[in-house]
Amino acid sequence: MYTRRAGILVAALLFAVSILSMFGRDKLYSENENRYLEAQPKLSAAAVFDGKYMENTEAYLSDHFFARDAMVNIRTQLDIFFGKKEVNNIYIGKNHFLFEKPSEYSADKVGKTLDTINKITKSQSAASSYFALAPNACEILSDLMPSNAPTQNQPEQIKKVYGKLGNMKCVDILSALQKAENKERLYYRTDHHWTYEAANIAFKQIAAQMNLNTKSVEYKSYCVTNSFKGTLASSASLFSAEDSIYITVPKTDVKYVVTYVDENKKTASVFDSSNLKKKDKYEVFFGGNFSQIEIETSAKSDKTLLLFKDSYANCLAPMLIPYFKKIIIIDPRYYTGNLTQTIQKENPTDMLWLYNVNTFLNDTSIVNSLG
Amino acid sequence: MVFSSTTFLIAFLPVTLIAYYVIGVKLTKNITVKNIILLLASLVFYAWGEPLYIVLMVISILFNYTVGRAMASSRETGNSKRVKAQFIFAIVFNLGMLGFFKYIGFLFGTVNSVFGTDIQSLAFPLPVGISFYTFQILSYIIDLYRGNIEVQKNPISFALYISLFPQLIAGPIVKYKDIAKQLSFRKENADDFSRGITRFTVGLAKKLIFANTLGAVYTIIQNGGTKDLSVVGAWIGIICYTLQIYFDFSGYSDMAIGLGGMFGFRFNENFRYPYIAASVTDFWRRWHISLSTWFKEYVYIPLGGNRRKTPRVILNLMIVWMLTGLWHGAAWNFVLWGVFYGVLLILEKYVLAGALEKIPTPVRYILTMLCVMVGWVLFSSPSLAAAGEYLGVMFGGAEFINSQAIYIFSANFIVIILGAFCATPLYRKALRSFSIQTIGKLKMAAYPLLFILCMIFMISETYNPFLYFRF
Repeated sequence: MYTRRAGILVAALLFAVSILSMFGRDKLYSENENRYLEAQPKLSAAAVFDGKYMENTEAYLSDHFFARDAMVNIRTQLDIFFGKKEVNNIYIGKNHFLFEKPSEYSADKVGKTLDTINKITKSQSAASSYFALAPNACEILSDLMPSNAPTQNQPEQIKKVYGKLGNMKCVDILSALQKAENKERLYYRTDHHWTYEAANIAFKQIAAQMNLNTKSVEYKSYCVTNSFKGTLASSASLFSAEDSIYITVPKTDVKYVVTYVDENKKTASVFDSSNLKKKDKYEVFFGGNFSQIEIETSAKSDKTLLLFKDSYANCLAPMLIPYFKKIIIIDPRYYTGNLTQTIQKENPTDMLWLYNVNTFLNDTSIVNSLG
Repeated sequence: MVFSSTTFLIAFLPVTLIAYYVIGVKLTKNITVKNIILLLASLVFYAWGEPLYIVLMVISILFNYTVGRAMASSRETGNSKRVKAQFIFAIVFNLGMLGFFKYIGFLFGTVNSVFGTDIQSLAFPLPVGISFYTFQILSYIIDLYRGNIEVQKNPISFALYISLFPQLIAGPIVKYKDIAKQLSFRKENADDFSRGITRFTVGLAKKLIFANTLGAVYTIIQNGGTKDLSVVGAWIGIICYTLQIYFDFSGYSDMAIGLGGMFGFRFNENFRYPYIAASVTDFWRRWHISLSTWFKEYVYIPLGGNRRKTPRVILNLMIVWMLTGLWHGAAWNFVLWGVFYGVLLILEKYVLAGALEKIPTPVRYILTMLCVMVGWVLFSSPSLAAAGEYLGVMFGGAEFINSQAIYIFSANFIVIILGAFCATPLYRKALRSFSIQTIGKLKMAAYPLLFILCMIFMISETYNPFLYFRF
């Protein structure tokens, strides 16, 4: 009798889930997954014979499954409850810190990238070239990583990279961050980026190498949001913590104009507050990543900076504004232009490479779009 | 299609159930209609995963139906030579199909490596389920030849026997004689249905909750290679695999038996707590029972079985176990795995029989599990060399423990212990102290909860954030 009732309950659940999943199939986009959901596949002979139709149907039904996001979230909680220390390749650290898995050093891949960088440095030998590699949270906050979790020796990785750079000044961000007092404030708990505080420390190291006179400029920081749930939180589907984002503004009378070259767009601010309403609030800096951004300033300087970067630079670049008449920011991951032409035309006096270790070690775009 | 997919659970199964019960059971009450519905569903089920190879299965069905009829009519006319010729033709055809699609690449590879040649290999992707349905067909043809069964004259019933979706792609291997009656008469009822769907839920849970989770642990350890592997790490890895393959395979059998029950079929049990076996012989009475009885009935006994002199029996056993190994996969490590069991079984039969009885039972459990786990290393390794390296680490060829092992153990030991508990009848013993009413109420809460958990595990596997992650 009990088995019969249990069976009927399960059958009822099966049909309920099937019917409930039919609703909400018009949903197009998943905020948590930051991607469009699979659309209903079109039936055609070709799609059936190569199996695409079946594959897409499975994805379509799974993407529109009843209570999908809630189920994924419960799964994460269950995994953690049963002792798992990582979910979807994200380490669940202490004090609500999440960590991305550190990248491995591949001599082959990094070697090619460094060859390209050295070639670019050589081609503009009149300019001063700088290289700044920022460590990630897994290194600076290694105490908060799950015990015994597989990790990488980032100081060693940075040393290897720096050792292969010719004729460039290497900026030591690592030890400056290691010496910082409140290390938990250097990285977001829910996102893979560093905070304005870390960027500020790094900026001071870069400025010292570049001999910038930073004493004349005062910086002020503002908190722009307290409800940032970053990419690591989304990846792990773990939303128990929230971060604050601070921005730093130089208090000077230097004016500037930001040009998004490929987008043919000009703005008067490096901050895009409309992104604070979106999921990825880190995009408040420059509105995200763009192939080429130019900042023209009224600074009393005759220097032009060419900055090659990943997204770690987005929150640091605004601090550089008072010292250059022009800053050209190139993100090789999106760049499709002609670098030689740009260098000839702009004749930069300074060139800076600013990357974080995890991105840099896996990067192939420097070779592909600048090489 | 696989059972643990969204398409199966929220589209295929509900639609098939409604069609079967509304049209077949309630409206027409006709066995042919019921069989047609199930046959159509089964063909869709197979074509969903194998849109091209379905042709192969249909050819197989048509061929064997025709040969079966021909053998029966030859027998009626008393032409036993002709029956024999038709029988041999059928065996050659079926084994030929299996051999061509499953073993041709292996054969070329072996020839090339033995003779140092470089012949371009004809390798095809393996048609899903071909090893299972070919063995089902052979059971029909052989039993028909032996006169143990009547010929199946109804093409729909015959096609349904071969293609019936619950056991089509991963067993159990249902012998025709066990199911012949149910093809022409079966009565569905609420109790069988409920037992079926709860059994299906248990199988689904074994697959989604245990097999996938533990499998992921072993994959990490295996992919890491033996360079950073410690003794403890290697043991954790193979324990996880041991549990994974049990939950995966027996879960699939549970789902098959459960689904069969939902449509009025009764299949024989395929697993009986194999990990509480007290000897290797005992293990094979509990593991994949439908395969070992198939080999016993259609290979071992025809070869003479136990009734021959000892050397011949040993030869027979070795033949059977090499074939069993080869059935599991076209690679040398599977053959070795079969030989490994052949040797162990011969040893138990002729050498250790008396000695084993003197050993205390708990020690026998442990010894058996050791053999089984060594077997799984052979079974799961990508090559013989990799298996050798892994075994080397397990038996002391590396540092005893390292941070990888500690990390993996601390993150997974609860699941491992829970898995080991559920793989044995211990939980049944634990329940015995409760009254029937309490157990009944527990079931009413547990099965629906288990089903919901399965949905959670299934859907969370498809969570696929696209985050410009590195950017």
